Amino acid sequence: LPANLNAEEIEVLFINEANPYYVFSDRHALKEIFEDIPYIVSFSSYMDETSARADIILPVPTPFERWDDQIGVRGLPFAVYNMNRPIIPPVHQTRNAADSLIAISHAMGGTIAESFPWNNVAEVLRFRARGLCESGRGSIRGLATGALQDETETSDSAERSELNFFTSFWGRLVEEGCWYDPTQGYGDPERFLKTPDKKFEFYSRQLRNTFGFSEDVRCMPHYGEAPPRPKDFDLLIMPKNMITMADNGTGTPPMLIKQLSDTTLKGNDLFVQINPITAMYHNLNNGDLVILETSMGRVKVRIHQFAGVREGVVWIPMGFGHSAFDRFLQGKGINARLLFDVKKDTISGLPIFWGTPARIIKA
Amino acid sequence: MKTKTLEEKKVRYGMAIDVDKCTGCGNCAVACHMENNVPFRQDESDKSRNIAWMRIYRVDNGAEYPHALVSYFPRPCMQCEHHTPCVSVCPASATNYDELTGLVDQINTRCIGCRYCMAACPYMVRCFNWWDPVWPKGMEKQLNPDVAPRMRGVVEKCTFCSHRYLKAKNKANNDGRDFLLEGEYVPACVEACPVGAMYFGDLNNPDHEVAKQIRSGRSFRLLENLHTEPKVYYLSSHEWVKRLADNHM
Repeated sequence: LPANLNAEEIEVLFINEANPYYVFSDRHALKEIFEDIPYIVSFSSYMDETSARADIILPVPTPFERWDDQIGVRGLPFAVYNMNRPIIPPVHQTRNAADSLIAISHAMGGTIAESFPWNNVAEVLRFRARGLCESGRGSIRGLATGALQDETETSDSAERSELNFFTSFWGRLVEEGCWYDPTQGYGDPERFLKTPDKKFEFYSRQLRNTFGFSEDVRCMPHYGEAPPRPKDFDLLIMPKNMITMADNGTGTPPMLIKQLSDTTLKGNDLFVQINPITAMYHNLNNGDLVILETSMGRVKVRIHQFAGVREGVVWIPMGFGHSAFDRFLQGKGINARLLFDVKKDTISGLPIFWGTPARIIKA
Repeated sequence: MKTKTLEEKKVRYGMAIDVDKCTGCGNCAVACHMENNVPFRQDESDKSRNIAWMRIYRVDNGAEYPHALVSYFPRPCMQCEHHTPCVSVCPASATNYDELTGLVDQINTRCIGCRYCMAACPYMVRCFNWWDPVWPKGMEKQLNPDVAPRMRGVVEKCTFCSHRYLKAKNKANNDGRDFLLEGEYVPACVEACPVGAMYFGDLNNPDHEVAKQIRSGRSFRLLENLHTEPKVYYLSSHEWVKRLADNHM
């Protein structure tokens, strides 16, 4: 939970297509959510761990069945607005989460209803699209918004021109699905760098001013010494993100689980990867069943040797160990997140969960 | 108009897979299995029993940390051109080599389940149906009506999505053509690859991208010493990757 929220003060919690019960490593925070909050509503298309523990599940259509949008693409240095429209009618009786919230707010009336002036999610999307259209920036599949405006201009009236422009913009956005502004993050750095000098900084003055750091090194990328390991915990476990497994709490479909090699999952046993030299020192062979222990817990896994892992490190695949979803995913492997000792980054507030001390004991 | 001879009509559909681009994401295999109604079971970890038309092999260069490198080999049917081993041994003519296209296809209703083809195939592309396929309730809606699901007791394998070839050929015939344009017929795996690592087309046509790729100097095939002349080529600039292709020798 965000630090400024107290679970005891929350009467109803809406969880929209998220699975905190699986994703949170912090068991204390989980207890706060699922035991202290009296009523939990889960908007979900799947029976995930969170939905299984919610008081009520409001099934939402899948992305193929609904209006939705996504703002920005992680790692892409320019503005992207993606919109998806339903391409098939809903297979089951479902309702878009946004439509439910709008209906609830209207039923509540007062200022809450006033805050939701739309009748459905499609109207919200049109509202957002209008903002993009009016900005005059960006392109939709190679056609600049400005060029579209010129195309739709009529001599009749400014109002009609504007209406034509938005109608064309909306039609094109619905058809192509994606608006982007590639000029935003490129070109003259003075335009987009937010540093005082409009120059790239290796030494962050913002960090110095915000946190009052006196040592220069703390305002620069630097190596931080790891805390000392507990006695006998001679290894470090590190998460291995599998390209075929969803590790953000969403489910992995059977077609993708089928792709896993038998040195990742055999039956329900998950393999961790260690360097052959680590295996030699611990007298371990490929396929050995071992107990992997950290300060957070202990699990049974199998060993697979791979020279790409640094000596003394254990790679543990993410996305396994679900207790919910279907029989194709449930009970396969273990949830690596439960082994990680999550610390909070003092500057960003983001969780740090790599490099947890661990040890291996032969089962 | 001069009528084309059989020799002139011959095309050789083939594939090139750039392993330097492949990320091992599995999209090709998922697309293949969805397209061809390949079933899945609760436990797919026994690879001697599961069915996969497209299997992705992870290989490494055998070097010590930090010099270890990894590559992925997506492996469809190699569509052998010469003495196609599975065709040669099949007593029921259930596996078929098409003279016009070079496609090695499977006629499931003829298969008697003897599995000679599985023993003969050097690439282990063939899978045996140990059980009747069962899809979870509701998922039968995603089955592709162009491809018949296979029953217990028969062997199946990648066909280069030959049903797509038939569809494309019918469309071309309707348009008054007796040939296909590049890109008119593409297997599901090639279409699905998110990084453009797979090329497909007529190996005999020098204008087709796949033909250019296999002449690029980066191409090689698996187990070339067996002289089965696979029509699936791999592309890489790394010597260690190329060496692995014939590591049985």
